[in-house]
Amino acid sequence: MAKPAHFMISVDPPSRRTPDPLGALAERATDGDDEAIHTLVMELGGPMLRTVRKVLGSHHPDAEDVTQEAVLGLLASLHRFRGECTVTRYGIQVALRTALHARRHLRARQRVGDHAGPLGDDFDTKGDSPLDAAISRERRRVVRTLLDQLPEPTAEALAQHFMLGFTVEEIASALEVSPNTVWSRLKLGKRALKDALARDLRLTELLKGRTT
Amino acid sequence: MSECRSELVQKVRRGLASEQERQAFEAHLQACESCRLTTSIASDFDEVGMADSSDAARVAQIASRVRHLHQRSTAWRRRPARRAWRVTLAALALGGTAAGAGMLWSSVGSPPPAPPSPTSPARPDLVTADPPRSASTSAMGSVKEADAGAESETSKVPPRQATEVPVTAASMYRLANEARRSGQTTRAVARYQELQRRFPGSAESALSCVSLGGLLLDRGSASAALQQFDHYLERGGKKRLAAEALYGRGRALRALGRTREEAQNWQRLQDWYPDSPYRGEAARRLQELH
Repeated sequence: MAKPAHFMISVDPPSRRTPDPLGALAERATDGDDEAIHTLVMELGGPMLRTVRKVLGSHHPDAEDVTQEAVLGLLASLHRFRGECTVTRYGIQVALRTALHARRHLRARQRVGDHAGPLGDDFDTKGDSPLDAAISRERRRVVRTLLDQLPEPTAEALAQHFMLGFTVEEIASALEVSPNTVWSRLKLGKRALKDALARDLRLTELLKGRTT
Repeated sequence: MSECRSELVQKVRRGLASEQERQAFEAHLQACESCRLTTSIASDFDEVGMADSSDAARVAQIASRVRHLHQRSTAWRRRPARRAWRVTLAALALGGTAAGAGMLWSSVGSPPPAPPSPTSPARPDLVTADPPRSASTSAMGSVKEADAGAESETSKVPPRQATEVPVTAASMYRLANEARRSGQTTRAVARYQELQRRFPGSAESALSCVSLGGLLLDRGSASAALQQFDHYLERGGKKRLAAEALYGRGRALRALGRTREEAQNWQRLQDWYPDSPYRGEAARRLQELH
């Protein structure tokens, strides 16, 4: 895979030697320091917004709202943060979780006929060709739909793995489970994903177009 | 598909792999279906969620709203500030923010931002509320506000706490959105109407037009819904939900059988908001009408 790293949300690799540049700021924010809170939100808002977009879709109308919800959730839970990862990564995890919940809720509303608006799509993504872009888009749709349906622990592990590029150790730390548990969840999730991709008619048709 | 425990895919993805590791990974991909799947899906998601030129402004707005909420909560001096701040944040975070056509305060300029409307259920114990990790899907129930003249939510918060938050346009809007999200349509309609009656010039009242219009439309009151959408679109100032309002307006006109106006509406949506998520629906309907 030759995808440049800058396409990913930048996550500091955990390091025990280098202090977290946001650590002190997060502590002051926990104490209710107004300026610290503002600065922390300005620092984390971008990565959190981009994470939400990965889950909801690039142009989802609720992306900003869900990001704000995630920011508030982050600030409310900061006092429980023990520095097991960087503050940035913690914020990204909170954003991912919040966005996954938001998707489930929106999907539930659609099921009862509440026209909650689209579940999001990505219209401006680049691909080597329009066909490749369409295939990528449909695969994202299948993944997001599957994440809505899987049990939450499996969905979150899968989302961290595919959307954020976290290692098993990082996922295990975030979810507070053993790495073996994460491997099990990823195995189940990938199996379900493989089946879902194979069953999706739209994607199958597009892939046929690529081979002809 | 056999399980593969190689972590090279993430290392390569993050640009942390050496040239040797990269070559080993390329060779590994030939034989490993699991890693091929991860690679293609990872590539799909690496393409989205990139920074946008408007992100700085969006983040600044979020930071400003959060700051305002914090300042309001520290003015509430019934508990030590630190705990009070966490309680407020926990309550708001559990409640979540507005979604869909009910987007909350997005066009609010100077008025104070409203507390976020819930998208996830609240927990019974506000003080020890959990972070978003373990949200359940039970109905909203634990956040209660004084809402004079409006029905109150079922709550486990002691009644003495219910009078501590003043009734404002923002709080009324939030409660209306909560009702809408939990499927209590009648209550939501009543609350939006009450909001519009009591705070007619407020930003929340304007935003409520889009939410209420959607609810009325879903209940079959297309004419009343159309009035709501028109009211929103005709008001002055920023209209950040204009695309949503046009979408609703199109549906209302269709329900009323006013096809010529409906077509004009969809054309307007396409012309003015070509990037909106509703353009597909607009194009489809225009094709049907022509």
